[in-house]
Amino acid sequence: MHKLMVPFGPAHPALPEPVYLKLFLDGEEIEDVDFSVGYNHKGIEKALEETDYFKNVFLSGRICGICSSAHSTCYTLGVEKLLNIEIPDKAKFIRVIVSELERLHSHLLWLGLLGHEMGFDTLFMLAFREREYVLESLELITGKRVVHDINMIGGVRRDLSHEIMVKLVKNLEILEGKVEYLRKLVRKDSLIRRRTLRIGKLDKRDVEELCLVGPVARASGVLYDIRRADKYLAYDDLNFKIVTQKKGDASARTLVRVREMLESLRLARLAIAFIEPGPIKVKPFLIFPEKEVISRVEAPRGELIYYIRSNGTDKPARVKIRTPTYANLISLKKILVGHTLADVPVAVASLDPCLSCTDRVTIVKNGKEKIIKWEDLHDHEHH
Amino acid sequence: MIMSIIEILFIPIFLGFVYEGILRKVAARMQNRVGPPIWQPLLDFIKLLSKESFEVIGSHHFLISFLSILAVASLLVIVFTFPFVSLLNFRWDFILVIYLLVFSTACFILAGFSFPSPYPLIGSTREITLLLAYELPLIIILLFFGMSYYSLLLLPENLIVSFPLFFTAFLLITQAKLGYQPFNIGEAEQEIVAGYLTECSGFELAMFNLAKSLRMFIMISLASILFFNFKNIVAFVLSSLIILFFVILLRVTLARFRIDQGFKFLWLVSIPLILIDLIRAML
Repeated sequence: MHKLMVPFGPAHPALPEPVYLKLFLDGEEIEDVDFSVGYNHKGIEKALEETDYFKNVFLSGRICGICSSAHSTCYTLGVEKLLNIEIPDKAKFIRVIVSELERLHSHLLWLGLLGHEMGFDTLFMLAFREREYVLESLELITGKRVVHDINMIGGVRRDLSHEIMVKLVKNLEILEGKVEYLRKLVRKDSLIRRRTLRIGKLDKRDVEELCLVGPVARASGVLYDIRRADKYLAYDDLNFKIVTQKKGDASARTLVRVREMLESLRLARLAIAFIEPGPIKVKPFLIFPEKEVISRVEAPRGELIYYIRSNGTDKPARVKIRTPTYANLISLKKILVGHTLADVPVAVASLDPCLSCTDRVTIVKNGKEKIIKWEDLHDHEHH
Repeated sequence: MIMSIIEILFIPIFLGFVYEGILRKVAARMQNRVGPPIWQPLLDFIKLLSKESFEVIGSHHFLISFLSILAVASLLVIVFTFPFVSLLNFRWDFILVIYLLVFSTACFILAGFSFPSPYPLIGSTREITLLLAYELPLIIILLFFGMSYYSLLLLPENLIVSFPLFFTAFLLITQAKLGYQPFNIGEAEQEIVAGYLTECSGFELAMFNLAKSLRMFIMISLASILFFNFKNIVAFVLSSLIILFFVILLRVTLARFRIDQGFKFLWLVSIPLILIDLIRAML
C-alpha cells in the first residue's frame, strides 16, 4: 500500500508545543516516527552566561511557564552549593510548599490536556477549574499566579503570614475533595480507560535502557524520585510516598500523576504544619569560588539537572540545563510505533512533553540540518 | 397543514441554527463555561459566506462547491417528507429518507477525498468505516417502521413505549451520524485537524456547516417523529428539545472512541438492542 506521511506539528491543534513529528502510516497504523525539536529556541543558556548570578534566578524561572519554580529552585540550589550556604528551615519549607503546589498545577493542567486529546473536553474544563484553586494559593504565597519568583539566593523573598496559611489550608482541603473526584473519574470512566490502557507501553527494562525520568519512569515500576534520591530542601524531614505503577502504559502514567497530586496536597499541608517562626533568608557571602556544581530537583515532569561552572566572576561561565522532557522524548519512537494515528495524541500527551524548556538550537542551511561542533559555535560567537 | 415552499426551506435552516446554538450554549454551561450566544451559528454562517474560498491546488474546486450545495439540498428534501409539511408523503417514503441521509454524508466524504491532503483523506476514510457501522442499524429501524406503517404520515403516536430499545439505538446512531462524542472520529481535531473539512474555506465551509446544522435538525426531528410523533407543533418542538438534550449530554460526558472501538461498539451494542425489540415485536 502507498505509505502516507502525516505531519504532526510543529503547529497542531493537539499539541500546543512546537514539536514536529513525521508519522509514516500504513493505513492507520504507524510504521515509523521521526521527530525534530528546535522551533522555540530562546537561547536562555547563553543569556544565563551574560547575566549575573542574582538576576539569573529570575531568568531561570522564565525558562518554563509550567515548572517555573522548579527551574529557579534548581538554579538557586546550585548557586547555594557553590557559595556553600545553608538556608533557614522556614525558607526550605516555603520552597517545598511552592514546589508541591506547582506540581499540583502542572499535573492538573496535564490531566486537562489528556482529556482534550481524547476528545473529552469536559475533563479539560473540570481540571482547569480545579487548577484555579492552586493558582489562587500560589498567588497568596508568592503574589504571582504563573511565574512565581519566590526564590532568591539564600532563601525566599516573601514570608508566609498566619492568615495566608489559614487560607491556604482551607484551599487545599477543598482541592483534596476535587482531586479525589478526578481520581475516581480517571479510574472508573470506561472510555478514558479504553483510550489509555495498553497505549504507549514501556516496561521496566525500556525505562532503564533509555534513562527515562519522572512519572513516566515511575509508571513502569522504577522507584526513582529525586525528592527521595537527593533529599534536597526539607524533603528528608517530610514523610511521603513515592507513587509507582507496574503496567507502564498511558493509563498507569495517568494514575501515577493523579495519585501524585493527592500526595503533593498532603506534602504541602505537612510542610505548612512544620513551619516555625524564624528568618526566611540569609545574606550570602559574595565571593564566587572557581568551582563547578550540579544540582537536581524533581520537577513535575521528572529529574531536572542544572550544571553551573563558575570562573570566579559574578557571572557563571557556563550553565547547562537538562530538562526532564529532553530525557523522555527519546522514548517517543518506542511508544508510538505499532499504534494507530488515533492513539498519537494520547501517547504523546502521556509523556507530558514540555518543549519550551527542552528546545535546542537547530541550524538549517539550504533545507538541510547541520550539526555544529562546540568549537565552531565559539567561532560563531566571536564573529 | 401545508406551508409555502419558502417556509419549508427557511424554517429547517433557522431551526438547525437554533438547535446548534442551544447545543453550544448548553454544552458550555455543562462545562462550566459561558458559551456563545444562541444565534452564534447564524453569525458564523454569514461571516463565512463573506470570506474568500481558497482554491486548493490539485483539488476539484467546482466539484467541492457542487457537493456542498448537494449536501444541503439533499437534507432539505428530507424535510418535504415530514408529516407537518407532507409534500412528499407517499408509500415507502422511508426509503427516500434513508437514501437522502446517506447521500448527504456521501457528499461530505467525497469532498474530503477530492483534496490532496492527508487529513481530509484520513477523515473521509474513517467516516466511511463509521458509515458502515451505523448505517445498517439505521436502515433496519427505518425499514421496520416503513414495513409496519408504510409512510411517515401514518405513524402512530408514542412508539417509544413499544420500542424503547429502538429509541436507545437511534440515539447512538444520531450521535454517530452527527459526528459528536463518542463518535467524532471523522473530524477528530486532535488527530486530523478538522477531518474531511480541513481544507474547506469560505462558501464551501459555510455550506458544509449549514449541512451539519440541518443534519442535526433532521436527525432530531426524525427521532421525534418516529418515537413521539406529536401532532401538536409545540409538543413536537418540546420532544425535539428533550432529544437534543440527550445529544448534548452524550456529547459532553463522553470521550472519543478510537475508530476500531467505535465500530465494534456500534455493532455490538446497537444491533443487539434492535434485534431484541424486533423479536419482541414479531412475537
